[in-house]
Amino acid sequence: MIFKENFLVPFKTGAFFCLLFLSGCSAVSPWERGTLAKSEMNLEPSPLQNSLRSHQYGSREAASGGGQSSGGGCGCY
Amino acid sequence: MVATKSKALHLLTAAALALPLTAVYAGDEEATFQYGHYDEGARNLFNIQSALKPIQVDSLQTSTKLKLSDRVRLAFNYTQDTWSGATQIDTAPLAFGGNRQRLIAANTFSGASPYLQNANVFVDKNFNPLQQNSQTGKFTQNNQLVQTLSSASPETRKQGDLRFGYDWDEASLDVGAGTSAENDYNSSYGNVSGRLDFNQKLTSVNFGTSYTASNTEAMLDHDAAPYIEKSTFGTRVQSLPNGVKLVTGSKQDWSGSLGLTQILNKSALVEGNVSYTASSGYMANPYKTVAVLFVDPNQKLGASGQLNGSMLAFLEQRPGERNQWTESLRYVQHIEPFDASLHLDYRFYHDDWGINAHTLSADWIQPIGKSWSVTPRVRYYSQNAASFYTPYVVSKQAASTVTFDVNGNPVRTIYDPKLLPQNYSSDYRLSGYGALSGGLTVTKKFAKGLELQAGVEYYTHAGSLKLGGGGEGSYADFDGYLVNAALKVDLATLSIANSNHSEHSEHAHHHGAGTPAGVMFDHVLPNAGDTMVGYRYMYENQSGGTQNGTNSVSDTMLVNQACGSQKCFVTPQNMSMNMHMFELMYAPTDWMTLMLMPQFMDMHMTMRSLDGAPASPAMTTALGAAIVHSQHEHTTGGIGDTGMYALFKVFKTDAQQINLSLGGTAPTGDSAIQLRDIHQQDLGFIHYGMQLGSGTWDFKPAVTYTANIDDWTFGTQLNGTKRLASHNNSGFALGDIFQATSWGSYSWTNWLSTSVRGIYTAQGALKGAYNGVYHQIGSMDYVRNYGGRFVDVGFGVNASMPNGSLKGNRLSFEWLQSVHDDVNGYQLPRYGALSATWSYAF
Repeated sequence: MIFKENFLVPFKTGAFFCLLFLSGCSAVSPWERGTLAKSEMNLEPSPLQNSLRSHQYGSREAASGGGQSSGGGCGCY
Repeated sequence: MVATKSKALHLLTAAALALPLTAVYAGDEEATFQYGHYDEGARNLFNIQSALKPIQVDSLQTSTKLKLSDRVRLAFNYTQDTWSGATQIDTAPLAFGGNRQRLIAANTFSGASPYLQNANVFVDKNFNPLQQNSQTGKFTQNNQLVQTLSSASPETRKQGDLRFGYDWDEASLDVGAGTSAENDYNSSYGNVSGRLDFNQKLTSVNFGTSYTASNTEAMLDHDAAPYIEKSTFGTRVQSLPNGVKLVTGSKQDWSGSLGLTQILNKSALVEGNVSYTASSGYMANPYKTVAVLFVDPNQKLGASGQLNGSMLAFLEQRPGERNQWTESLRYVQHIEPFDASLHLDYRFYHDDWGINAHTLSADWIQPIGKSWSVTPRVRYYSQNAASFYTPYVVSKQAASTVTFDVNGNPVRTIYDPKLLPQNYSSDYRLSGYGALSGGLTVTKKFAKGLELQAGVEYYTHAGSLKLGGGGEGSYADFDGYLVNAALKVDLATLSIANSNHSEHSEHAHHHGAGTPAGVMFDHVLPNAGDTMVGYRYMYENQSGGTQNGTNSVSDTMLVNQACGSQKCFVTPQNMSMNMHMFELMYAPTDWMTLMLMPQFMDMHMTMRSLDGAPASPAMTTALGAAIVHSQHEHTTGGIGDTGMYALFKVFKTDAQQINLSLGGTAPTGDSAIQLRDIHQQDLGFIHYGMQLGSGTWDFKPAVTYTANIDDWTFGTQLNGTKRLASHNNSGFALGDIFQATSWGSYSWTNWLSTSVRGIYTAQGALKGAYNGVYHQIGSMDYVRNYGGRFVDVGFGVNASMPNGSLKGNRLSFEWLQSVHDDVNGYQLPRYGALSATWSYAF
C-alpha cells in the first residue's frame, strides 16, 4: 500500500524541478561566471568532511544515501 | 605582482568556462588527509550507575586525485574507522531490570551487564509492566522503558576504492569500484556515473548507477548468546564446534540516480536529484535482539491483580526486501554584501518499511580576507518509525507449559513461534525521532595550494524532536559530537608554482633521492620558506614460533617458563601493525627545518592455546573469561603519538652533508585501552603491545651523514628514543631504543634508484607494570618479554620526479627482512616490515 501511495512522488517532484528551472533561469555568459567559479559556490564544497558526516549520519539514521550512487561498507556501531 | 594577477585571472576564466562541472571546483589534482573523531554521550539507564564508556569512533581518510592526461582522471580513496564502547542490544521495561549493575568495590561500579532473560516479571491485566517493591512486595505500574546496553572491544573497518573518469568537452563518465572489510561484514561495490552538459553548460544532467554485494558473518556476543532464543534462528545461525554461534547472511543493493544541475543566474545554482535503491537479503543487525514478554492470559490473577510473565530475547527480524526513494534539492546562492555563499539542502526519503524522513540543512560559507573562511552549519532530520519497529513485543501465550502424558510424565511445551510477529526490531534507528545538529568549520588556505580545515559538530537525537510529535520516549535520547581536521594539497596549483621556481627542481631531484623509505630525519629543506608534505605508511608483522633469546621454544617450555612464577595459558600467534604518518615540514631558515608528524595506527593480534597448558579456570572467573576472550582477534586503532622535530643542517658540501634532528613525541596516543567486560568480568587493560601510544613524552634525537658520489649515495644514521618518565598514567614505560643504520643506493636513471640497507636495533624491556586490573594469560602480559636486539636488511626502490607534471613528487618503497632476532624473554620473532612513503616538496 505504501508503495502505491508514494510511487508518483519522484515524478511529481521531478516535474516541479523542471518547471522551476525553466522559469527561473537567465542566460549567463561564460565571462559572467566568476562568482559561480568560487570554491564556496561548489555544490559540494568539502567532499571529504561531507563523507565523514554522511558516514556518521548513516550509522545513526534510517534514511541514508540518496545523493550520488556510490555504494559502500557498513561500519555500523 | 602583475604576473600573479593575470595568472589568477587566467585560472578563474578557465574555471568559469568549464562551468557547471562540479568536478572542476573540487580540484582536479589533489591529495587530502582527514582525521575524524566521534564521541557519544552516555545513555540514560535511570537507576543504574554504569561505568560503560559510550561509543567512540576514530576515522582516517585519505584521498588522491590525479590527471593521467588532459581528459583522464584517476581518484583513490581510503578510509579506516576504529570504534569501541557500549551499544544498545535491546529495549525492555525498566521494571524488568535489563541492565544489571555490578559493584566491584564500595562506590565503584563496573560496567552494567546486559540481562536479556527474566522468567519472573509481572504485568497487570492490561499487560502494563509492574514494578515490585523489594521490601514491601507491593506492585506499582511502571511503563518506563530503558535500553539494554552491551559493550564492545575495539573493532576496525577499512575501505578502499578506485575511480577512473573521462572528460569530453560537454560530458564526462566515471567508473569506480571498491571494497570494505571488517571482522563481521564485508562488502564490494561498483558504480558508473556520468554528466551531460547542455545549453552552453548552464544545464547538466547527472546520472549514476551502483551495485553493492555484502556479506555478514558475525559471532554472537559471548555474554548474550546463551540467553538468545534459538527457535527462530533457522539456517541463519550456525553452531561452530567451539560453541560459537555464527550469524551469516548476504545482501545485494542496486541503486540508480538522476539529477539536473541548473545555473539560475550569475550568483545562484540549483540541483535536483532523484534516486532509488532496491535492497534484498539479510538486512538485520546481528547483534540486536528484541525482548518478547510472554504472558499466559489464561492464568489466574495474583493477589495484587498481577499476571506472571517471562521475558525472552530473540534476534531481530527485518524484511528481506527494501525499496528506498530519495528526492533532494540543493540550492547555492552567493550573497553579494557579505561575499558569502549560502547552501540550502532539502531531502525527502521514503521506503517500503514505512519510514518517511525529512532532512534540511543550511551552510553559510563566509570568506574572511584572502585565506580564511568560516562556515556555520545547521541541520535538522526527522523520521517516523518503521512499520515493524517496537520497543518490545508482548506475546499473549505462555513461554512454556508443563502437561502430563498418559504415563504421568511431565511434558514441557514451549511457546508457538508462529504467534510472534513476522518482523520486529527495537533498533532505535528505526524508531520515530528527530535530530538537530549544528557546527562550525574553519578553513585556512596557505600559499602554494595548501589548505587546512578544522570542524566541530554537535548532534542531538530526541524522540521529542520528531516532526509532528509522537516520537519515541526520552529514554532513547542521546547526543554526541564530531570533530574533524583535514589537510588538502592542491597538486595542480603546486605544479604551476613549481614551474616558476627552477632552483627547486634541483633539490627535488637530489634531496633524499636515494634515501630508503624506512629512513626518517635525513631531510633538511634547502631554502628558507620551503615546504614539504609527506605521507608514510608502515606495516610490521610478527609471526612464527615463539623464541627465547635466539632459540625457538616448545609449548611446554612456554607454559612453564614464559610467565614467571605463573603458568602461561596462551601464546601470541600473529601480531601486525599498520601506521599512517603525515609529515608537514617547513623551513623558517635555510639551516633549520621544522617537522610535525601526526600518526594514525591500528594493531591486530591473534593468540592460540598452548599444548600442555593448565586447565582454564571457569568462565565465571576473570582469568577464565580473559582466556576465552583470547580466541578472538584483538584489535586496537586510533591516533598515535605526535612527533615534533627540528632538523639542523650541521655540515654541508656539494657531496656530503650532516644533519642533526632534535625533538620527540607527545603522548597523544591512548596507552590505557581496556578490553570489554565479558561474563560479567572486568578484563582490564589489553596487552601492553596493543596500546597505541607510549604514554610518556619521548626524546628522539638522530644524526645522519649522507654522501653522493656519481650515481651512488651512501648514508649512515644513529638514532635513539629516550622515555622522559619512569612510567605513564597506566603504570608502565616502554623501553628506550638505540638504532644504527647504513645504506647505499644507486641511481639507474635520473628518477629511479634502488637501495640496500642494514639496521641494528636494541630496545630495553618495559619498566613498571599496569597499575589497574589486567589478567596475565600469556607471555605478552609480562613486562620483561619486550625489547631485544635485532638485525634487519632492507631492499628499496625510490622514484623521484625531476620534471614534468609530477615534479617534486617522491615515491619509495622498502621491505625490511628480519635476519637476526635476539629477544628479551619470550616473544614472537619479527617477520618483516614494509615502508612506503610519498612526499611532495615545493
